[in-house]
Amino acid sequence: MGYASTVKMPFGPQHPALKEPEHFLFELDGDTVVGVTPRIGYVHRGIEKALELSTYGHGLYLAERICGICTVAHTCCYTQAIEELMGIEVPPRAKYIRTIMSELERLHSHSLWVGLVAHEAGFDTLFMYAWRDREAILSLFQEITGGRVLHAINTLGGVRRDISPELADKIRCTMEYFEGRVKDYRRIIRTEPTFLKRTRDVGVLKPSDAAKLDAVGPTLRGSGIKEDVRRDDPYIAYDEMPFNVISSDGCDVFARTEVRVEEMMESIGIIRYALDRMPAGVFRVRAPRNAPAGECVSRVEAPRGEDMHFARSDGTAKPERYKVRAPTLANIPALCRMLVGIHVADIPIILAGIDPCFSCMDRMVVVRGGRASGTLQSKRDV
Amino acid sequence: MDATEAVRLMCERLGEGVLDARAPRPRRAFVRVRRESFGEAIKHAVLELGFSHLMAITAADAGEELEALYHLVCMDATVLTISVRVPKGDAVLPDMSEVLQNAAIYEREAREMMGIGFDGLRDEAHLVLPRGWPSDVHPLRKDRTYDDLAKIKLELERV
Repeated sequence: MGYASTVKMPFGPQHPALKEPEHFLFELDGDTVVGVTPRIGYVHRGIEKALELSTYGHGLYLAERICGICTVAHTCCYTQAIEELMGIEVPPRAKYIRTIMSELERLHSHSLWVGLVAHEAGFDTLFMYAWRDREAILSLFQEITGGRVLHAINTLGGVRRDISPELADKIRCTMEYFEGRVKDYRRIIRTEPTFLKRTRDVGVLKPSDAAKLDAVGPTLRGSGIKEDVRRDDPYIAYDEMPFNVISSDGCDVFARTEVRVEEMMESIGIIRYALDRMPAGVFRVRAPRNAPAGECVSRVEAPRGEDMHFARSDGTAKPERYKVRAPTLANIPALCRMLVGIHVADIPIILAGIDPCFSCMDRMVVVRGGRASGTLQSKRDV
Repeated sequence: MDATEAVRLMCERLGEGVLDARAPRPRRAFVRVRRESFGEAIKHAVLELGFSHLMAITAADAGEELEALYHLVCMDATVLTISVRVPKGDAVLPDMSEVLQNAAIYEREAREMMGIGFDGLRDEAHLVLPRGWPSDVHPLRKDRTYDDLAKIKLELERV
């Protein structure tokens, strides 16, 4: 049945699908979405400007706080960029520790996402289990670094803490437990009819669209395109790690779930391999205070997809320009394509399907988004 | 395509249009072009050399000029950064949405934050800055201090 005119429906910044603020203006014909306009920026904190005003050492703390979930990814990308500018080589042991931390982060981020997508699909039992299991990884983070959310392990020239043989055994034990849990998720998502009905053929992104709109990460790989920075543009110790790049041809939310669950199995394999072959030696070298003039592009595969930083130095102790492009921003054009032609009821699960992280994406404005707070954000607060 | 090859092909095609070209390490190439050659440089890289994935556009303040850096990636994961400088008084570049479908989102970001205009950009509404933000204040310009921006934010909140 056609309607005489379309209706505009605002969705957000505070909205039913996500715990982070974001605004989408949907144009509806009946309950079919015919147009979507995104509006971002509600959690901008002025991090790029703040990075230009901070020394390289201080910038590390800012990079750590770009995102709470991909903190290792952002600090890896930051340290890698600055180390390239400074011309220092990180010791092999530090590269292995960074790799283990990155993969632990992928495990915790993907299990968080499995929980969220199960919740949006109306399957709260899986949500509870996934978040319970994620605790095991958070406890490991606490053992390794002292922090459950922010780890402060990456530093310029290496890592701050070593992984002792006892700690390595604990990680192996947790991996044993987690592997069993991931196999369980795999069985559940493939056989549970409610989950299949809510995710199959929902949020379809054709491979041609995914490529043209430059989607990244599991959103791209869920559309059958095997691209992964870890394999294509290897960084830290990924060139020595055996792993498969997972993709799925479903092009829907189910395919994105499948990709993430299989990636968790690969991550467990990488962690075990790295723990068994960890090179001996120092895990940190001294970094200079200043970086000679230069510029570089640094890329890592964050849990949500390709994360890119650009740094330009001018010989001083502060970067001349620092740019951060988090994976969620790259996925916004593809997300808008997925949202057109769907029913209103599917909006939450499709939004959750790209695993959006808006605090990663928003990072530049010097003002705090919420009007109600009425406070200004100083550089020190950032 | 590796970085040295990309630099060679770009120089071959653009000739005098290239101001500086380097491949500092494997999989990283930087090419700075004249303003007149910018459109041709992007089209050549995207359509003929296969650098079809736009990672981001970085806008930078280079004193009297503004700089836009387009970070493009090809299938072999080589990153080609094409940069161009425009004077602050006439900071306009052509919109590249025709060849790079996702360019608009990064162009809007560069427009708001650094004040580079994009000729042909269809949607010029605020993407990241708050509603009511003055259109001539670009937070990432070097002459904008935290204090300036804080004052503007306070004004906005008073309204």
